[in-house]
Amino acid sequence: MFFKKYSPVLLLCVLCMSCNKKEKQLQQVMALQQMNDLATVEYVVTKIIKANDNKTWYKIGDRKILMSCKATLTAGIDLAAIKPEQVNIEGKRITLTLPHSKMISVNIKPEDITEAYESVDVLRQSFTSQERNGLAIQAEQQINASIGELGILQTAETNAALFVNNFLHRLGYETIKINFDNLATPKN
Amino acid sequence: MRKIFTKYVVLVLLVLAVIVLFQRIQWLPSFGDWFKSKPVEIENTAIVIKEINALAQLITVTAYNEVVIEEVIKGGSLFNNPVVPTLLNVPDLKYVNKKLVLVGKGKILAGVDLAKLTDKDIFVKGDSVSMKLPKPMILQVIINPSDYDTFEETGSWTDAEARAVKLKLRDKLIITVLRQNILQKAAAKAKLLMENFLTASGFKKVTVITTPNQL
Repeated sequence: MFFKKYSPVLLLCVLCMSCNKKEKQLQQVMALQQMNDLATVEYVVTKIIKANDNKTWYKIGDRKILMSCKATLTAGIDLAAIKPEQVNIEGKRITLTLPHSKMISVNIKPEDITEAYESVDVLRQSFTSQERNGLAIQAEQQINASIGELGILQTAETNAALFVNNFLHRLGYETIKINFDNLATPKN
Repeated sequence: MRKIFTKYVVLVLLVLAVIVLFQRIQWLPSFGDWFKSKPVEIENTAIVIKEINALAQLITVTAYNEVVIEEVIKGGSLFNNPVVPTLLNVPDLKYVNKKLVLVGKGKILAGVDLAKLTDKDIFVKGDSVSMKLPKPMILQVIINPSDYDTFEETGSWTDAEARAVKLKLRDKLIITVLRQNILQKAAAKAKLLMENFLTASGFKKVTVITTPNQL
C-alpha cells in the first residue's frame, strides 16, 4: 500500500539518477589541412602561475607553487579570402580590400614553463607532473580568454597592410590603397 | 510489529530518495564531494606583453598528429658509494624506478617565410612577374599544456625531468610529421597561393619558383 502510494516519487528519483550520462563527442581531426594564412604579428606574453593547495579540509599542511609561463601568440590574415572583385587596378594604381585579421595560434612551449618556487609541508606530497600540467592548462585558458584585450588583431591588420603595401610596391605599383573588409568582423 | 518496521523502512527510503533528488538538482552537495579533493586553482595574475614582432610568414599546411612517449628513469642505489653494500654485507638497495607515459596531440604549421624575400627574388617586366619563394620550413610546433595527457606517472618527477620528456615528445612529433612530406606540400601550396595572388594583382604572366628544402 505504502509502496504503491510513493512509487511515483521513487520512480522519479531513479529516473533522475539514470539521466546523468552525457554522450561523449568524438573528436575528428584531419591529419593534414591546407591553409592560406599570412601571419603578420607575434606577441610574446608572460604570466606567473601562482597556486596554493590549502582548500581541502582534511589535508593537513599546505602546498604552494610558483611557475613562470611564456606564450607566443600569432595573428594574421587569410589570403584566400581576397576575391578578384576586391582588387581594383588602374595602371600603376591599385586598391586592395583585405579580410580582417584572425588569431592563428597560441603556442606555449614546454621549455617556456618553468617552476620558480615550490613549498610543500611535511605531511603533503610534492606536485606531480600531471598536477603541474593542470596548473599550466589553467594559465593557458586565462591567456586565451584575454587575447581580445591585448590588441593583437589590430596590430596584425596594421602589419598586414604594411607588408602588402611593400610587396605591391616591389611589384611596381606606385599608388597603393589598402582597405579592410567592412562586412566581416575580426575573429579570435 | 512488522507493519511498523515496514513503515520505518519506507520512511528511511523516502528520506534517502529526497536527499538524492536534492543532490541531483544541486540543492545539497553529494556525499562524494565531502571527501573529494578541492581542485587547485591558480590566481588570475596579469599577462605581460614582452615582445611584439612583425612577421611575414605564409602558413600553407597544418599537420595534426598524436604521439606517445614512455620514459623510465632507473632508481639509483641508496648508498652513495657502491663499495658500501659489499663492506656491510647488505644487498645493494635501490630507489624505485620512475615512469612517465605521455600522450601528446600537437599541430605543426609549415609554410614559407616571406620576410626572407629579397629584391633579387622578384623580377617584374611589364605584365610579367617572376618570383623565387624561400624554402619551405616548419614555422611552429604547437603542443600546449592542454594537449598533453598523462597516461601513467609513477615516482616523483621534477619539473626539469618532466619538461625533458615533453621535449622528446615534441621531437618525435616533428619526425612523424616530416615523414608525411609536409614541407613539399607546404611549398606546392605556397606556390599556388602566390600565383593566385599575383594574378589577382593584375599580372598576366606569372612564374613562381620554389626553393627545394634540404633535409
